[in-house]
Amino acid sequence: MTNGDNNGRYAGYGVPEFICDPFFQDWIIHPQGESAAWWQDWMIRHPEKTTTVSDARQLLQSLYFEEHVPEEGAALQSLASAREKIATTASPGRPIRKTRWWAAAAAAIVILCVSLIYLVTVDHHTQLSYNTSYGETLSLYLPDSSRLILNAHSSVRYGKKWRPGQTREVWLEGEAWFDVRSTAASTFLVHTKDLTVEVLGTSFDIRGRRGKTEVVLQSGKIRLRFTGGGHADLLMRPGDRIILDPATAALTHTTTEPEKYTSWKDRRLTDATIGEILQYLEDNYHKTFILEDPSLADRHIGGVILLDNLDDALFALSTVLNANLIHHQDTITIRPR
Amino acid sequence: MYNSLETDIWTLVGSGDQDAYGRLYVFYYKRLYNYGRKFTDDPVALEDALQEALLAVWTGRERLPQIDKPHTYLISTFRYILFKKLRRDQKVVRLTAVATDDAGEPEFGIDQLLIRRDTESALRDRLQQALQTLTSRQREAIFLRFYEGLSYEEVAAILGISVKATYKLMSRSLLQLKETLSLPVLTILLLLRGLI
Repeated sequence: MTNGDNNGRYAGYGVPEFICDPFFQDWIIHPQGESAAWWQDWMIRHPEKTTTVSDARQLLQSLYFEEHVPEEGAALQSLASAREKIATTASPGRPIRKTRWWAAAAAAIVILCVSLIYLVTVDHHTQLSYNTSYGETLSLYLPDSSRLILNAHSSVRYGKKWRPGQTREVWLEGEAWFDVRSTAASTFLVHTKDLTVEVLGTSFDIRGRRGKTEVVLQSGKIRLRFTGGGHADLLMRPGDRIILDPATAALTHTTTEPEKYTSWKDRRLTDATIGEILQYLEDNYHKTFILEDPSLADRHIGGVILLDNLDDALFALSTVLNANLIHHQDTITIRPR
Repeated sequence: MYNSLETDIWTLVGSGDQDAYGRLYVFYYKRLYNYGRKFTDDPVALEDALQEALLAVWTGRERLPQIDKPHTYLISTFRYILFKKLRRDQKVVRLTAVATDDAGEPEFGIDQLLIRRDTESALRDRLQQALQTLTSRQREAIFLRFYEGLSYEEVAAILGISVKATYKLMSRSLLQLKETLSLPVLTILLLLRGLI
């Protein structure tokens, strides 16, 4: 695979050469991969290629495929049937042997050793944890095949094995979107610092940012339990948005279009204000923004803003606001032209 | 979507971890289903091919450590099994139809490759038209590269052609799309529209 720009040949590239270049394609395919960093750096050194590169990017990014998802539960059903086949072929009617005492003793010793090892290493083997850094999201399937998308700069932790009937529990810091499989028998809990969400089969978004915890319910039903006390349990309906500020113990309850709050998982914001966009970029890309004209913060951008990568988002902002962006370390000043 | 399994999942399955196998099964079931649906919407053929390919992972788990890229290997196995099933079904139909395509390869659905809805509409129409001119194999190569995120080497292994041929196939497809456009400065237009 091509890697890096020996002899500076990319400087002579046009749109056709870029779209056919595997290393360039990698940037589109893995927006968080190492090629992305390389290209962003290259772009800074070749500002004259901005239009060519953005045209090439747009062409490749416009391709997409009809997405087919198997019916709910089909995968688990297929797995169960596969396991049955494995079980029937794996034990081809062994001859029955008399149990000898020493065999039993040996088995007991083996079991004891195994359980000792298990106890000693229990922490490493029973918990899974995932972290995302700035600018990165992560899509996960939980052991019950519920779905979780972890937003940037967040972490999640849960047990590796979930037995049927056992309470399903997830610990979250930062922001995540959940699509929970409903199983009649077992409870699903999401723990954050300040509250616990009890799920009754649903999709929703939790965001613990800037000290506040925010829950937006897309569909289904969930119950909030507050850690500190002071608030009674709360039952949420689709479209509800709850913000808890633990500093003042204030609870804000509004209704909203949930898609607005969950669209980050597709790396886009819908009908957002400049203030919301900047806040998103600050939280997810570890930047600080200074708006020289603070009245811009309330300005509404209709439609969709893509947040695939910081440079594209900044380019969009500077165009929409007709402003210059001045970078100084991690601070970006927005100055109207 | 590319990170949904632990990185050591294949090692775990190779060592006989049944729970790991369960996670791998569910993950690849969904992913391969999406791939298989591009060729057929016959639920029986799909389910049979999915189960056969995924069962082979467990029955052949002892050989897993020797397989260089188990992920690509699984996709490729699934494709082989599915194609075999579809070709068999096709034969039955073919007796009455005049065979026009000797290879009888299953077709990657022409309506499966699309242009993003948020692409500016004039551009979208032209791209959509250009897509119609691609062959089944070209569409599949684009899918494996840009949707599944595979490398050229992996795409080549799955399609059963050389890496060089894959480069040619891919470039020809992309340039064919590019041909139909003279790209205006669309990004800016798109965003400004939001303000009005």
